Amino acid sequence: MVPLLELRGVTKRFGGVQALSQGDFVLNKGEIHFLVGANGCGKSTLSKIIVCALEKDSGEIFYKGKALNLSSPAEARRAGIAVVFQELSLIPDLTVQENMFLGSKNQGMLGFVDSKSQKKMCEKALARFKAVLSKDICPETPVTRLSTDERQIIEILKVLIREPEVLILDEATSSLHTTQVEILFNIVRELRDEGCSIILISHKMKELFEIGDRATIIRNGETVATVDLKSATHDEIVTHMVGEELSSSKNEEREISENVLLDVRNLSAHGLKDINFTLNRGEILGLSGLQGQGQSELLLTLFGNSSDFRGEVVLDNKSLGLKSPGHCVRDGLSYISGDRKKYGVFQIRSILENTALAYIRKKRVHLFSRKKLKISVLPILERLSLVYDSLDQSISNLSGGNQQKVIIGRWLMTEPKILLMDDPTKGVDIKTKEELYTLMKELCDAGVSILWNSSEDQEILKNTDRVLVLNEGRIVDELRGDRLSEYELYKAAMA
Amino acid sequence: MNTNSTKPRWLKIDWKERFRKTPYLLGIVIVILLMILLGIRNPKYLRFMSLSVKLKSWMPLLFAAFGQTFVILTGGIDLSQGTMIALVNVIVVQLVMYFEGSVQGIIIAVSAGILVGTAAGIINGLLLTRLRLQALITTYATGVIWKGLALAVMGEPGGKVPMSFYHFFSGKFLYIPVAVYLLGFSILLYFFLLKRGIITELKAVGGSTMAAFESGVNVNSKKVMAYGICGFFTALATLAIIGETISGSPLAGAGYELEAISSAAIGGASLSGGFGSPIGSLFGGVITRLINDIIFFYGIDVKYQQLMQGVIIILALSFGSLLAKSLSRRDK
Repeated sequence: MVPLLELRGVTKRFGGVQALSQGDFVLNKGEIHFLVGANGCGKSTLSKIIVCALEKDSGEIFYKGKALNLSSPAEARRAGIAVVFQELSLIPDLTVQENMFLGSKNQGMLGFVDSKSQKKMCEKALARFKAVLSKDICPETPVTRLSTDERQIIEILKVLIREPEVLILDEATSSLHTTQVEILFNIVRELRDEGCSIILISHKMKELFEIGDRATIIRNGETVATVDLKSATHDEIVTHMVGEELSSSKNEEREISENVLLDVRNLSAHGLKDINFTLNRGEILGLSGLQGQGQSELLLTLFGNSSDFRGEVVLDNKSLGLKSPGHCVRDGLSYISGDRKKYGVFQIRSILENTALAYIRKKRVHLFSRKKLKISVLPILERLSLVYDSLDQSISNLSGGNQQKVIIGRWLMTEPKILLMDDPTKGVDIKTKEELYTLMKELCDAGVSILWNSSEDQEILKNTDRVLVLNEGRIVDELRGDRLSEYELYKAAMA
Repeated sequence: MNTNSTKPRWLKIDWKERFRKTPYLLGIVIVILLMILLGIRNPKYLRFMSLSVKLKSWMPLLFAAFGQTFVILTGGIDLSQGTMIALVNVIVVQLVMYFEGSVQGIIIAVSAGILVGTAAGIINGLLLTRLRLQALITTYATGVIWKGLALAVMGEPGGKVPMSFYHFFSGKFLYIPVAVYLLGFSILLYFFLLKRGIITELKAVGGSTMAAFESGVNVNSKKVMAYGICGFFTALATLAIIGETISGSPLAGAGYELEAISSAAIGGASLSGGFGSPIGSLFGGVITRLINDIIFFYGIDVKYQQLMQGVIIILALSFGSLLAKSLSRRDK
């Protein structure tokens, strides 16, 4: 039997990162096929390549036995391959009906919009989810008035009314409630029985075994195995995902004081539920789990970015207000983001300005001499072993890793008690990464505590004393000592 | 529940829902309020004769605002509109004079004017999409070009157009002023585009360009189309101006672009794109002009006229934005 869709040796590179090194994938007609893998292993890349939202570097794609050459997602949809992406693609000010039919051909007389039949189709589609949508949703409701889960449903319906032969759902269930997921799965099963093939990307093992027929596991950009879900086990899949753990170089156990520095009690905020943990003085605490489970939200909330949090955060026996980043800086917190362009670096401005900024704000220096400022900056930059020509050099000329060093320097000048870091090594070269790890340990030995999140599972397992595993905004497990392994991490994260 | 049935009928209408579905409803309400204010001061103002003369003099702004709205819907802006009026103005007047005011000459001149306006708009659109330039600064620059071209065609105000031009625009057909027909034609054209799904696509481009592209909308061609439509209506605005002044001027239309944009905003259009209606902008234009008349008829000191005008525009705008805010909030 000729498979409906087949990928052979597909590769994709983003700059220096090989996102997909060997993509082989076979989709049969009338099956529900899962794509599983660790964070950043290339699942989404693979699905985006299928519909040409990304261009492949090499490899071949066959559809119904013929080579498939597309130039846009719209063209893929016309060929019968449709995708529901994680990022929502609805237009807020248009109505539900307008959004659903946007970009499709006018069906009415003389190429006019046949709004009556559109409305009927739209109502029919909405009726399927009637039980889980608010009652006042009709085809004329503008999308701005819908909640996130309702938008996700409209997004799915938008794709479904075009009756695709291959349907790709990229984490479509992550923003849905349980009852909504149930209805979606019923529809997915119906579609399969009608002969449609569905590719699902999901992190939830439960879903995998509930409706999946087969699953392809991707590890580090390589499709390593395809298993039949009727016979496969939970452990088998996790083992495929993690692979044989390379000489699990244990991180040396560090001595940590028993002195509790930060105590977070029953913290809830947007995307966070009931967070409880403590951070000791000089400890490196990691946040992990699948991406987007509340790690960034937790760091941002602790840095005063969430206006409506509940719970208590105690630093050094003093309850924190977390009113704004400014308040948090004065209380001894600091925040470093992996998205340097957006949250870190002031492009074009000099290294001096970029380093001294937070210091000036915290010390409330109103008048300062450039000379004095330079003198105070120098020891910090030396400690970071930053290589530069002069302090007046523009920061844009530095590499990503060195820019990150400057930003760390910016916060070290404020003598923080806690460093919050959200994926700080993103886009940083390997050598500088190692330097950063060493620096983190040095800082902690000097009494600073670090709470950080990373999208690279190995780096966080290697460079922390403890790891908190988050799932859907809750802490589900705490790993320490021998349990600091990828296997344990994924077992906890995907339960 | 029981109390509901005793309520009079007009209380049962879900006004929030009404306002949301017809964004220009607020414009209509403000127009009526201003009319009442004017009627109290000067009852003659509301006579049919006087209103039809007024409507004729409002036509240039109404067309300009109507056209500008298509561009605003896509998230763009056309600052070249004012000088585009000047360019079309001098071209039409020169051609009419060249053909010595003959009927064929007038037809040729008018067609040429409409073509030039539409082409100028399309050029704006092509520059923005092909070269990926910023709308604000690009249309400012092309605006300077249109002005330069206008000066090259006609160095100083002058020329004369046959009175038939004037009579046409202030004339009546079956007791109804010609201006009403022209506006009716514009509104018909709008509904034609609406029914072809083009308005939805323009809004989609303005609402979220990426999402529109992902949905298969040809974003660039829609942008060019919006600027072209804007140029077309700008040409109509120019013809209405010629009908009023019956002469040419390379300085005609100065400041119209900003008045048109502010009219569109008063009429409920969002300048960030994706929301609004050209019909709302017509009411916005009427409101802009009525404000001038109110200031005039209430005898406000000349010194304070501009001040008042600005304040009233701000009031009209904030009223609209507050309403929009309360409408987007979902009642639980």
